[in-house]
Amino acid sequence: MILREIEMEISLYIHVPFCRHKCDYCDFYSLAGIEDRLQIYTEAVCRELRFRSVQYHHPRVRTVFFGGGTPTLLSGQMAEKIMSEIRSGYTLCDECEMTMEGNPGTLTAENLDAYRKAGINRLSLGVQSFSDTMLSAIGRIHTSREAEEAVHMARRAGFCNINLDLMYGLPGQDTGMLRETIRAALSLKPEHLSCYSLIVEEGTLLSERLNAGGGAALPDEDTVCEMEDVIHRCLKEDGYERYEVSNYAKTGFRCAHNIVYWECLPYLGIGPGAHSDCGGTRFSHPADLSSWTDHVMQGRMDALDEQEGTGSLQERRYERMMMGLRMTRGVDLRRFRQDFGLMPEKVWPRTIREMEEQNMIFTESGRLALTERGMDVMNYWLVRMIEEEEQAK
Amino acid sequence: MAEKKMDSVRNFCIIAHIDHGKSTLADRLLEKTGVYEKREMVEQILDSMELERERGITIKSKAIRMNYIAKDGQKYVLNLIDTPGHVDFTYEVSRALAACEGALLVVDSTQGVEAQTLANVYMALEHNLEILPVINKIDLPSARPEEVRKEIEDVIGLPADEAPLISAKAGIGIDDVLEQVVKTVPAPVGDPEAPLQALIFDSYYDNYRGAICFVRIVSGTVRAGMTIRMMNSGAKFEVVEVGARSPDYMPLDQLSAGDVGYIAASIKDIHDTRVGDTITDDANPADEVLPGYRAVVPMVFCGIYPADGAQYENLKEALEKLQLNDASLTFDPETSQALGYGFRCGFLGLLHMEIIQQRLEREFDLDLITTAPSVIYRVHKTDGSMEEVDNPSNLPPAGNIDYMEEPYVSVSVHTPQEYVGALMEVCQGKRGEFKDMVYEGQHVCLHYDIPLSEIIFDFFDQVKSRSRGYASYDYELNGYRKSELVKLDMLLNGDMCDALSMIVHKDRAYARGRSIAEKLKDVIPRQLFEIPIQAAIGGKVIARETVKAMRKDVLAKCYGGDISRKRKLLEKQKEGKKKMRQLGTVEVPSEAFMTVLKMDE
Repeated sequence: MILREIEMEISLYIHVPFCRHKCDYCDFYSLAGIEDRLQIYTEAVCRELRFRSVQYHHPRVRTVFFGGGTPTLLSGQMAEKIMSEIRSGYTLCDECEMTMEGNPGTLTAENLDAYRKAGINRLSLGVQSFSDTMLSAIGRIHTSREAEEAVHMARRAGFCNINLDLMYGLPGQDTGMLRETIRAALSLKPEHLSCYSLIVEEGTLLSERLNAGGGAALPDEDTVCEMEDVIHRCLKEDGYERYEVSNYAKTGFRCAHNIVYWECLPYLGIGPGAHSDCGGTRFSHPADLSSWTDHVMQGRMDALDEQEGTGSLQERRYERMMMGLRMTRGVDLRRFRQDFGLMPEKVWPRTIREMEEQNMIFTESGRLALTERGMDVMNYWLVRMIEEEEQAK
Repeated sequence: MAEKKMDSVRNFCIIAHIDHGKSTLADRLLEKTGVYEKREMVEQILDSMELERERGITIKSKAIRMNYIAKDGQKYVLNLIDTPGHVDFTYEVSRALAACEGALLVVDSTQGVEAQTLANVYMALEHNLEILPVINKIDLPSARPEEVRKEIEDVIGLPADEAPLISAKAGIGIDDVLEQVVKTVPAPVGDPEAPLQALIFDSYYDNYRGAICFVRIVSGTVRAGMTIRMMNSGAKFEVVEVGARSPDYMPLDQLSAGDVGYIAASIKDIHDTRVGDTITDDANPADEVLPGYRAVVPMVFCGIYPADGAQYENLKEALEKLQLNDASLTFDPETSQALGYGFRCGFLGLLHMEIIQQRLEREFDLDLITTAPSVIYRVHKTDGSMEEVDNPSNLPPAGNIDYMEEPYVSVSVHTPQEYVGALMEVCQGKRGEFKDMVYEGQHVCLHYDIPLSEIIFDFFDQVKSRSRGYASYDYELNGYRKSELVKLDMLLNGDMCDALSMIVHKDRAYARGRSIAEKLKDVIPRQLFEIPIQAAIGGKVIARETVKAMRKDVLAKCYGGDISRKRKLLEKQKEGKKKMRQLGTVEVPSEAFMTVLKMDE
């Protein structure tokens, strides 16, 4: 019998751990002030891509995402080098979405042009706010003016799929200030908007400052909720569809790469600190540029991956809900049953029934989705699911 | 038959303000007399329970025998009797003091005479003890021993010119202390030939020998094989062994008048060894019991429930184990709609209650929910019958109640003059009834009758804070009085929560109800729906608060690399919920039940 490899389709995530300056709220792996190591980093990314393409038998690639850090610190040449490595080792799907995240303060027309030529077709800009007071309060290196300029520059370079990241619930922010930011963002007519409520992560500069009672205070819970309502309303009026908890898009411009995460489809992470869920197993790389570079350059790939296991069936199906319900369209029920053998209402009968009774969840077009209220209090239900499964044991 | 002096025996205790070095001095004495080798010394031997050591409170008293050869070349037996130091245990202390002839009064040379110093002196004087001041911590830079010596003379009125200057910590002057004990503490007096009278001042449950009594022989002699009788309880036992602890059990041929030691008699139930009871020879009984006996009865009750219902049996076993050693702890099964199966437990006072609670949690690794403490109320019903109620849930319907009575205690507050005004206010505020005021030199003793339910709240804290720690008090039950009491109920989302109900005086009900509702509002987290919290008396709502509905509980960001981390976050959130009780539709954190305890109106 001849075993034929099933052709895999994956997404690629490339972690670029460089920043001009670390933002106060950031807890991602990134380093400031070592841009001299970008060249060797690029080299190592190419090596890892080559290795992985062999490991996974030249898989098809659904989407590519350069995340960071600040990927726009890559020169045009570097981006081109990585992209051609991808092209040679992997089969890109038609209309493959290729996103690069960037900081408006680091963009140049030349680089944008080069990215575009290298095949990048989506740009995601970390604007966060259009208030300069807010921007400096959270340690961003750019001004609102530069953010606007960045969008115009990107348009001139031919980008017709642009996302802006915004944050709300910032220290000292009020609803009025947020409205200003939304207005400014909408006037730039981005195709996509991500609006995140600020999470103060432990160990960040911001958390230390707040704990020490320094700087402006965070708005209270009710104000943050009000802000979210303002965002929903304004974006809806302007023709954006909320398709995930914090993501909004014009028709046809949802972020295909992020949907891969929410649908729990395979992805491969390249670079230090990157996570992968590929070939049925999970693994990650050390969040350490030197260690990762050394391993890759010396060809010790086997020692690079920190295996995180396959995830039990129970974990996997829970995560399918945890991720899938983030999307307004919800979880694909047919795939759920295919993968786990049971429908969600059989796995969590009590919780799902209660959710239905309380109008928190509904089924439509073969998908199980949260109502708006259900999405607001999603954690409550996710915790209930853990409890129910525990009690059933 | 003649009274005989036991010249080679000294029975004494150590009294001190907290942290003045009582336990450290005890350790040094034991070390010096060879009871313990220095290297095997665990800090503070006498406080053997972990909790005691941590809280710096001696809960149970014990006695240890030391052999000492004095400078005069004579051999002495020194019995050090340790005493508990809290108002809940006043009675136990008084029995331990009754077993001594003298007391070492430890005074910190950097702090001088302090509140507890005085309170302890009063008590020791009441028992006619010879008090021997000892000035401690002289090795500290801020020590002012001579000033403190003068303070002892001026403030307390004790001669202190011969008070040893010591440092228990550094081991300085310990010999002087021992010499002084021999020289100053009177030798015990008693007739070893007379009928046996032995005072039980402590008892302890040993897994192999049963309950062991620590006794002071007042007259007569006790030896193995004798049949003894507890004069107050009437129980009889055959003595298996007598001896002294040093620190191990050291069997002796006999204990006779003046001696301190233990009696083992295969006593299965610690309740047969009541502190203060008199042991006599059943064949040749004494005519009289020793004075001062009081049956110890629990005065404060509360419900104790396992936070996890599955731990009910573990809780039961734990309580049984604690009770082996603690005759004043009682418990009976009870059920609560809110909390499920648990026990109604009785304690001497609030500290006793806290100690038991903490020992259950620490030594038995139990997670507990405790309901508001209550006293025993007497409910006189319209049909003429009377019921005792220590759990608000058991209160008959208002229509069946003719009137109610609550227990009162007579409280004696000892205080320096300048705090009299403040303390009278405290007593007044506790519905106290002034009885009289006695001047004792610089000090005043205030007598009040106060409802016990008022004492168990925060009387201790108030007395201490209003007198900057200088006042002390003790109390004694003195009967029941008619009182206007009502049952205060708390309703969560319209449902009464029995675990939060309490019986309060009518004049207090409004303030309590409001205050509890406010506190519950703060401790109950937002939930899917708005939750009204109401306080009600007999169906009439007197206060209302609302816990607003949770608006948002969702992770802002969740992408590929976050999955395991975010799942763990949710698991943590779930663990947090485990500390919650589901009451109907409302999730209530365990600490909510404690809020009714912590009142500061």
